[in-house]
Amino acid sequence: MKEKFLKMKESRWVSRLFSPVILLILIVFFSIATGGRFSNTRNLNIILQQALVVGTVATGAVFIFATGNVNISMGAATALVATLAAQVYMGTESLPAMFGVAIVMGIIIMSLMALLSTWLNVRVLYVTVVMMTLLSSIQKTVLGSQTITLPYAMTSALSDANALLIMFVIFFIFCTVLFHFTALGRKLRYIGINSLCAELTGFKKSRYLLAAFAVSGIGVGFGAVMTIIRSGSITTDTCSTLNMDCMLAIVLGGMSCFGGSRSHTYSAIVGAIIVTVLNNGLLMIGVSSTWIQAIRGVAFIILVCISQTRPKGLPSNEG
Amino acid sequence: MKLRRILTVMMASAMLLSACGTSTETSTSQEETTSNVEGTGTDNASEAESEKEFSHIKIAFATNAVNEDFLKVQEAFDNEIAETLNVEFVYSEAISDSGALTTFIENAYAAGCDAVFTSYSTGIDQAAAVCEDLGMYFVGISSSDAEQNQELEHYVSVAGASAEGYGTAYAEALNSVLSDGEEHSVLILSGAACYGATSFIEGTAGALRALEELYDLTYTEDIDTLAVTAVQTECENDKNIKITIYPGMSDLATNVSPLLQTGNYDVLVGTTDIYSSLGVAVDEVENALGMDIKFITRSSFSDAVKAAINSTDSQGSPVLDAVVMTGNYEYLASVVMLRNAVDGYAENMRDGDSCSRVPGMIPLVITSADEYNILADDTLPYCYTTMDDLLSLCGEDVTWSDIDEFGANLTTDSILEKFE
Repeated sequence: MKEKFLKMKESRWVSRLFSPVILLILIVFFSIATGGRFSNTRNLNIILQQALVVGTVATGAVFIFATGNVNISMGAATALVATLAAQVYMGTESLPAMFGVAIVMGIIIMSLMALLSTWLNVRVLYVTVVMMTLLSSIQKTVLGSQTITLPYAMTSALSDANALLIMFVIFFIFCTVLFHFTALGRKLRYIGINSLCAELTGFKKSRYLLAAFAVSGIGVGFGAVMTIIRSGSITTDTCSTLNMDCMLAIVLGGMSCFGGSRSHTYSAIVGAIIVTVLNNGLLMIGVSSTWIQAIRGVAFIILVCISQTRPKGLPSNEG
Repeated sequence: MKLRRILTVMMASAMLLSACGTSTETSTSQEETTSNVEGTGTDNASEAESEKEFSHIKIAFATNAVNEDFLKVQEAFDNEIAETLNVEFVYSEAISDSGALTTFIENAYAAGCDAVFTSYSTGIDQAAAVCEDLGMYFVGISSSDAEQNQELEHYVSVAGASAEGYGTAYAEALNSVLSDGEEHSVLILSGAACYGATSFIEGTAGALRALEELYDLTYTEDIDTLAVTAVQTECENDKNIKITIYPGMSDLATNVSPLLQTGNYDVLVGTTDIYSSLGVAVDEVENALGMDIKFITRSSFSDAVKAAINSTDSQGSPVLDAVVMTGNYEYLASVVMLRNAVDGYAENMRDGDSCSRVPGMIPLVITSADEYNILADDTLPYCYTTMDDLLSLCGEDVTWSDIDEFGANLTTDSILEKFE
């Protein structure tokens, strides 16, 4: 019985479909529990809109996670980029300028992390810990004592035009093609499976790490613009929970914490929607906020316990 | 590996059970308190209740922090206000940014809420716009006025002690502590003033103005500039009184203790709650240097503050010399205004074509243990407002200015007179 369960768990299709099926079950459950109110078009649209910022930044982060590395500075990077982009908009009132600055700064900041990790020969995790603090303090210095409040006319016009959804779809298609249908994606997953073997095969790890961070930087740029549109104001607290939300989304979406072959771009958005569905659905059926936190925690532990298994393979480190 | 899995499942079960326990305890205590309220509240407000029957509505409260203060508000709302005004409250987790506030408002709408109020003061104008789109009435709690979207029909009001109110309160606290005719050296912890938090800015500015008047001095720099300084700053003045501003909120014990250990300061003023982080450090410095440091802090009613204000330090003076108490009337005012708005009197709750501004209660200044013990008495109604008072603030004849005026009259002296 146990062997059967483990075999089923190892199955490629089970790992691929587990999170989407859980999401479907949650939607059906909440729809029944709320007498159909949960699944009305307006509420489903609200849920989708709520998941888009996390979904976008996390989709970019999939490229880093696929290599078996963890980046915990995505929230700080997005906050800083959003601050800079918002300041550019306030100075120029130009949407293309705001968008351009966000993408360019996102790529520069994230690429810098990859380069630091390579130059200093320090693990990515440690570099991102330092960068998280550094980026956060830069944002506070840049922002000073002010709150940047974007004009409501601009943010509401973009919201009404479904700018968030459009940006997410464009970025998602770009990432999916790059990750699942090009050599870059295959090589990133290979590095995640066994970085030592990948390097011995001739892959230059630093180069692919840089590419992964650069793509992730585009996601940060998109996420920053989406944050500006959705929040309408930028403060030192902006994106304070984004990093944890992204990591949660990636793991809940069924992607392995250890990267490798179980990495999929859809994991990020599926995971982000699962978290949003839980928050929205539980509140709709009258569960208190304390309970919501507890249930979310339990769901997270169970899903991680079931879905996460270190891929079997050759040893990737000297030990 | 197997053991780890078992432990994980056990941890998950324990979390679930603890959540069950909390909920059950809360329900039980709610039932007990409700029955208590029924016993006393019915006597007090039976006449008014018979005149006013409220339809059931849901109001969402997006809080900026889940702390002791919030839990007391939640308890009062669920056990007293909910029944009297027939309101079901939905609470958020601690809101830490504008995006999270928008998300909570949308979820509250999905959960069937009619109105929202929030104590997360940043970006309330944007939150009002989200509520307008969803057709929910909105009140923001802030010490600043609305800057955008005031014309939106569902933007009812901005409630909350004004920044000037905090300035006044700090001036009063400093005057009461430093009116001994002696020269003091003052360290002001300006907290989040350097990040633009208006109540902190006004608290710092209020303290500087009070010192200006007290010592008849003139600063070489503008007070408003000094208040928002982002680095440790000496407030130079023509009387050479030592006044230093230390900005920031984090790691106060580590950063401020060395300043106190110099022995250069005998007055410590906090525009945020500094007692929890610096109480021990001040006591150690007083012991080591054999000096008395006057301690003024912003806080809320709690067991820790009660113990401090009722104790004396090694020099025989009170541990806390003055406390600026954040008023809770703004929460009550928000609920009352939203109740009236949902009942069809939104125009009365708005100021013409704009949302109203209801500063209400000025933060209370408490300078003695006696004052504290009366004001913090558990038998006092929430926010010193009886059920009769509460019901008198609801209905078609009530306007936002009535609600504001009622709060403005809640001063330390008036409350002591009413309940002593």
